[in-house]
Amino acid sequence: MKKNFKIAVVALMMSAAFVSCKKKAEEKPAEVSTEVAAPVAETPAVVETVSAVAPEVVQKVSDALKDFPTVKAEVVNNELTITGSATPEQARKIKMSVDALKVGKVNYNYTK
Amino acid sequence: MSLQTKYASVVSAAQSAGINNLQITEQDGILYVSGTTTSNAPKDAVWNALGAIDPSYSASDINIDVQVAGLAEGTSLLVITESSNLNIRAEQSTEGAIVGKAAKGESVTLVEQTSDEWWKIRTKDGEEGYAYARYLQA
Repeated sequence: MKKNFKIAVVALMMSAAFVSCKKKAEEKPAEVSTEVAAPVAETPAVVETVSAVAPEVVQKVSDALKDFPTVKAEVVNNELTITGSATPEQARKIKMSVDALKVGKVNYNYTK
Repeated sequence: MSLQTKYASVVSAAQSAGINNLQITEQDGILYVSGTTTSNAPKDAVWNALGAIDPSYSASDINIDVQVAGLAEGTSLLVITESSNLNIRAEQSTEGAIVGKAAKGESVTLVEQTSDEWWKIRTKDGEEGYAYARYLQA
């Protein structure tokens, strides 16, 4: 009976030690993964892949063109382009509105 | 040919029209002509000069930004929309709630030139709010 009790105690101690080791083994990868994650956050690749014309710029120009239903602002070949039909008088007002926004290069591709 | 040479008549018109804070700079293949005036005449002179070179107003290598600024509160403004009514909004945004409308050709009163894009105006019916400055002529 005494012998059985001793065996049980030894078995209990061994299993406790095993669990403890297992815990340590589980904790380690977490630290490693933190170290790996840091450089990923510093990668500036996202900035380079942004389109030359940001959606908010297209929206801003579209807002300025609300009074001219025959034209629209769109991105053609990665450049902001005003397409549609406009008389020279309308085209003057359109350029006045768009230039005031100072959004960089804008192509005017009117159909006649 | 440099852009300043290509658009020499526009630059000359801007210089002789009496535009305040006139700035002429070239950047990324675009000639920027900017400044302010207190009336529409100098602004029109610059745009007329561009129209003489580019009658379709489709040049992408020149940016003219001559704004009418320094107008006093109470100045009468003409609504110069293309066809539709001018929306008067609660905030300086096209997302702002519409609190009134002014018809094309209607006169409104300037409350303040809040920004280059938005001016606070009051209609003859007493509706007050922000309107797109480009559709208002002093």
